[in-house]
Amino acid sequence: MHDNDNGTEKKNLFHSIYLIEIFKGMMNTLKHFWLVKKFTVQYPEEKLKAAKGYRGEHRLKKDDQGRPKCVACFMCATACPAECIHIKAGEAPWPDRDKYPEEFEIDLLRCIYCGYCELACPCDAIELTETFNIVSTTRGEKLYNKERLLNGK
Amino acid sequence: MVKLRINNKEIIAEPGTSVMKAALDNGIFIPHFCYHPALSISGNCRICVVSVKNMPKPVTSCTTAVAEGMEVETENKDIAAIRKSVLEFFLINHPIDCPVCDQAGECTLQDFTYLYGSDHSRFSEEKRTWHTKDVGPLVKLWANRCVLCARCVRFLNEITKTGELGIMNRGDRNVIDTFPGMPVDNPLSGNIVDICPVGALISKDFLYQARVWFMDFKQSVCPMCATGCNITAGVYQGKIKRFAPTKNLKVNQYWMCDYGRLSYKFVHSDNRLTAFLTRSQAGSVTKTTLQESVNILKNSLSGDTAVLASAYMDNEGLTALKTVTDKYGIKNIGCLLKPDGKAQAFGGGFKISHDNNPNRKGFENVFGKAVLDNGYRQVIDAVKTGKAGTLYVINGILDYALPQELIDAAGKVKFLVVQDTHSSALTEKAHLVLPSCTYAEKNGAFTNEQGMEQKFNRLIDPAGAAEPDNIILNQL
Ligand code: SF4
Ligand code: SF4
Ligand code: SF4
Ligand code: SF4
Repeated sequence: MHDNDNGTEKKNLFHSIYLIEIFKGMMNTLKHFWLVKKFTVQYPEEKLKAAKGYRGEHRLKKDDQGRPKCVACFMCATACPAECIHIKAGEAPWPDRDKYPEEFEIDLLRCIYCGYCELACPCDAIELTETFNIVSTTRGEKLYNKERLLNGK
Repeated sequence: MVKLRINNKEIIAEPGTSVMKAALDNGIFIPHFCYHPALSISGNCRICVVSVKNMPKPVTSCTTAVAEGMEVETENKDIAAIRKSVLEFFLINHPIDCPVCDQAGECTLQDFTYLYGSDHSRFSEEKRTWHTKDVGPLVKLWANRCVLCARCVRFLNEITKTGELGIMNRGDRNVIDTFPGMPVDNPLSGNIVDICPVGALISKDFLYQARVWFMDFKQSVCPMCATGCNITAGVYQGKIKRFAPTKNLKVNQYWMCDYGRLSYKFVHSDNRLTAFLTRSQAGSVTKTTLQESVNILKNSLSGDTAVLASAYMDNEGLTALKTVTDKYGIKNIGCLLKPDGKAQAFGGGFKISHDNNPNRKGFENVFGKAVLDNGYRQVIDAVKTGKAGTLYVINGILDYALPQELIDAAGKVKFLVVQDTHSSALTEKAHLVLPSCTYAEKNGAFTNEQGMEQKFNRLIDPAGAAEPDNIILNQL
């Protein structure tokens, strides 16, 4: 036997048809086929639940009278590193409140799901839900307006 | 002159100056709510305490006069402890509305609490609450947020001398209110919003328009009268959101009038001219470009053209126009002026000029007094008698309807060119319309009543295709 150009040893015929290796591989496959627990999830027929604290799409919470809890303080927009929260503030139509968001829009295409907005909010009004399967066929659908954020649709 | 040391810095001050003023004038900041350089000393907020060597107790710096050899310390452990206690008293009844309070971000109570205050409250009783109400056409009062510094009361007593606001009740029940049937509607009412150190007095015009830390602040000059108040414009998302005065002791001290304060609305009005237009003899309008308009204009200017320029043009525009009129040998030049109003003087020397034009002096400097005084009549006569073939009007006056006489006369010329910021009866007739920038959309300078040339800066992008007057004129 001599070393060939790339330094590997030349094998004899029995070794070079890899019969033992193929058989070993087949055994491994068959073991997983019948004996090992399976992890594959048949999405979308079957759905997993996101881990607690997962940062998915946003929602705006409502107070006990069904009004947005948000007071349009812009703390979330200030904290947001992606600058994707756009708020237009106005005078609240309710006598017991001063300020409320006339418009509230989050551009989920820019959002990096860091959750800073949730941390910054002094009114506990915004949160990142565990909804992760947010697909859309147009860019426009990824601009969530106040209605969408409050009602989830 | 008195020599003293503040924080080990040698300072020379006039006798009778307060320690506060001496420190502020020399770049040493002492926290304060009630002190204002243009108002009388009140000494009620107690946060400006400082230690003075050989004085048994800390003293309020706004009420202590400087003395020879005085050694003042504005920051030390004792002072910080006192300020912390003072702030605790302020915050007993304060609503801490910061998330919905327009003052947040430029609130001295916020700043000082951040610097000296406690991070928690020991007050567990009920806070007393007061009214939130309109106190005038421009101002809304949140009495809960008031720190009772009485700056607003002193301003209305000493500067406008109208005295609409007062502190009612006694002791713990002290509250700012108007006297019945006396709204704060004087021409300087907006200034109480600026001097209120907290969010108690808020401009209704600016209410919830923008958070201050998102705004860009740029310096400009108010164009609504010949006083030429220096202003700080707050710009948010390409729109001017508010004007506030910039301190300039030679021009407007610390103030500006309400008319000027709201004048940014003219810049954003719906009837701005945004395109170069030509109108055929039959009346059909076509859009065109700056270059084409300049070519048309070049061909129609000649010795028998009449030019009407306005005292709202900046010095750059007027100088460029002078070059053009000299080049084409134009003799009939006149000045369009906004009619005079009533001059108003206030305490402390602040004046609203009778002259409603920002640059009458500038016009006079460029074209001379004869043109300023008689030019307009001469132009109207030349147009009426048919001596002028082309009339070139460069207007740009804000909040003003052109005189009917001019509109009628302009119908008589063969070729009417109007360069203006807003559409008007005249632009409806013009054969060539050139959109021009307002003061907010260009850099330039006005010469005020006192002959001071004051520079203003471009605050926002021009409306549509509008161009500064001098850019158009320089190409002719
Ligand atoms: S999750 Fe982060 S990036 Fe997304 S909106 Fe909130 S702060 Fe902005
Ligand atoms: S931080 Fe909270 S309350 Fe403030 S604007 Fe954002 S969602 Fe609204
Ligand atoms: S006045 Fe200042 S401290 Fe008080 S609520 Fe407004 S921003 Fe906050
Ligand atoms: S309303 Fe403002 S300026 Fe007037 S006393 Fe109260 S805190 Fe001072």
